[in-house]
Amino acid sequence: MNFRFSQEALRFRDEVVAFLGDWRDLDAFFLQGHRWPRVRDFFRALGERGWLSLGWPGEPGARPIEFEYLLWDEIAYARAARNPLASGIVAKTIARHGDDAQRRRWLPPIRRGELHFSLAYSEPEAGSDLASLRCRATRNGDAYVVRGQKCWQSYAGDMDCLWLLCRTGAQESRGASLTLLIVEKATPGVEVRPLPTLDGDRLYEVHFHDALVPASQRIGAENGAWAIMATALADERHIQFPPARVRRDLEEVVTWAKAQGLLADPSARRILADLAVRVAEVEALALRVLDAMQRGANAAAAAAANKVVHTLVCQEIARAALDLGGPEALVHGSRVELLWRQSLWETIGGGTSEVMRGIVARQQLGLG
Amino acid sequence: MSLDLEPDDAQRAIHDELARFCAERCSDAELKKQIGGFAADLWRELAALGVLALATPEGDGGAAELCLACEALGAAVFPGPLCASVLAAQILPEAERREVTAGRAIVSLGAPPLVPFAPVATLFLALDGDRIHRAAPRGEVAPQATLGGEPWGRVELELGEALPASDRAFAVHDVALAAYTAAAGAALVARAAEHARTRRQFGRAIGEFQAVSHPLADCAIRSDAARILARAAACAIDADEPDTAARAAAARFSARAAALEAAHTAHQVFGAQGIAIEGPVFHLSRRIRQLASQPPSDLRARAAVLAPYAA
Repeated sequence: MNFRFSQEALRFRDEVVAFLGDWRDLDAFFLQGHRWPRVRDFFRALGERGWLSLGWPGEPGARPIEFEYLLWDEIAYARAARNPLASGIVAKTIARHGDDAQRRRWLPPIRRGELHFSLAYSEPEAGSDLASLRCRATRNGDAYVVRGQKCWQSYAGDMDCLWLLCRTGAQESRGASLTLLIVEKATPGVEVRPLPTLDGDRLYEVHFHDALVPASQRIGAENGAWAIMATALADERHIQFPPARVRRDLEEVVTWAKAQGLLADPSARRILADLAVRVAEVEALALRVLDAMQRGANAAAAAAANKVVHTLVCQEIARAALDLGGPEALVHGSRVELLWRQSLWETIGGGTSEVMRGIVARQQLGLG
Repeated sequence: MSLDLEPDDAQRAIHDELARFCAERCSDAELKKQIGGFAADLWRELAALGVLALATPEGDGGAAELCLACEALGAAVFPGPLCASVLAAQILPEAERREVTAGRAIVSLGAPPLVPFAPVATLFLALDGDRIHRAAPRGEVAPQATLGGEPWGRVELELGEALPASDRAFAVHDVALAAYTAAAGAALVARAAEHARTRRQFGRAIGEFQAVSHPLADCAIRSDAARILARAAACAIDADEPDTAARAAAARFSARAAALEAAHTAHQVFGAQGIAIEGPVFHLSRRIRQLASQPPSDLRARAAVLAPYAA
């Protein structure tokens, strides 16, 4: 057993911490939509250091996955930003499943932090049940004609491209007739509408009105997206829910409670101590995901477990703060109030807690 | 060296040897027979395997090995004053420590007048807040049956000198308790999941109902987290890291919460079978409940957990 990172990885973490000195005030982990130009600068700065492509399979500059884990954990702790989808799911998928021309076209600008993507998966009638999606791409010569609607896309208003999951075969064949396309947002017939969310940020709806997408922008085979998506998810499991975000949440709440004079109350201390135990559990489960991936094991159940607890504890911390906090907790602009609003999203986005428990029940316990 | 949450071969061997020992000597039937009593011979057999000496100067292994040993013992809810003996071995001078680790001295650790294992104990340690004193019974021990089936007693104790109880001593104790408790909870989850896979109602296995499977998934997740925390704390103790007290205390609380949740969920999943005294749950759940409430108290551990945040 060993619970320490390698010396090289720890030296790398020191480098990251030093680098983050300039960016700690960015504070875009929660409200990226309000900070986008600066966040893009931040991603460019990461790109200059080669840090956006640390985990790209088989690509130059790839390091053991603990590097990528520590990078995004420190960035989460600094509240600087979330890991961009472009250098995550998109680039890793292109690296694994794209052809040479696609790798040459898309990977360099993503590596530099200059090209950004929004995922376009969910639809009004296809949330947790993604295989039921209906947005259709019809082949027409060298292009696909895309028609349909996507919704609840993060950051789509600021991004350059959409990573579109769409239907290219019979509706009844569910996951077996889905295809991945890269759609430039400036493509005629692509319309993006904001949907303000209760955390003060925005999600987006995307409407495709017979948008023409070159077939060269299809990643992987037609009707071959489902298996590709599974490997893309597997490449990302260790950085999706960095535990330092949760530790930082509790640190901020404890500091805030102290400033409010609430720590003199033994029942408040008890509640906060219980939350400190929960944060430790979040950290343990995050390490288990990394450990499983490092040994080449299927980390799906470990990642699902991590997601359930990580996101629940975000909410437990925020709720406890409001329960402790008295009227000052309600004031707009207090971190406590923001955490309460923001954390409501966490147990839904990226797979609901119910779906995650189902994965653990099936894969780990053989139930259902 | 990079992250590795799993035991090495030597640690695995300790675990497996004890798991075999428990399977042979401490079956469900044997456990149920021992409720209310104390099997001194079984306790000495355990000691002869070197378990109680782990993480002491004479031990053939440190806190990490103790942690793996306690995982095996917890999965079988092996009876006896295990964690009290572990703590005693951390704070007693060598001669008495050897008596404890050899299984000859039976430790009672508690806050009088109600103290664990009083009717069979030969070495009394009295808790007074954070301090631990040598103690001697004054007068008769009045035996007291307990929820967990351990023989406790009411007795007046005369307090002697305070023993030097370091953060490390409590951390080793907390790791042993955490590993044992987490494993006991995990064993219950495994039993309940097996039942949910095979028990059929409404024409299907009850585990196909999310109302059954999701609570079990939550229990499995919590047990896993607690086991990892105990292992991490054990490694931190062996490496003499600075934040050991907080980590061990967090593991202890995490394991307790996980095991209590597992106990309640297992009773529910087994339905009426889980209510029978001779059923598959109670002899585990009663011990989990008892361990969750027994001394030493939470105050020190809770302060340790919060300390890194409230500094």
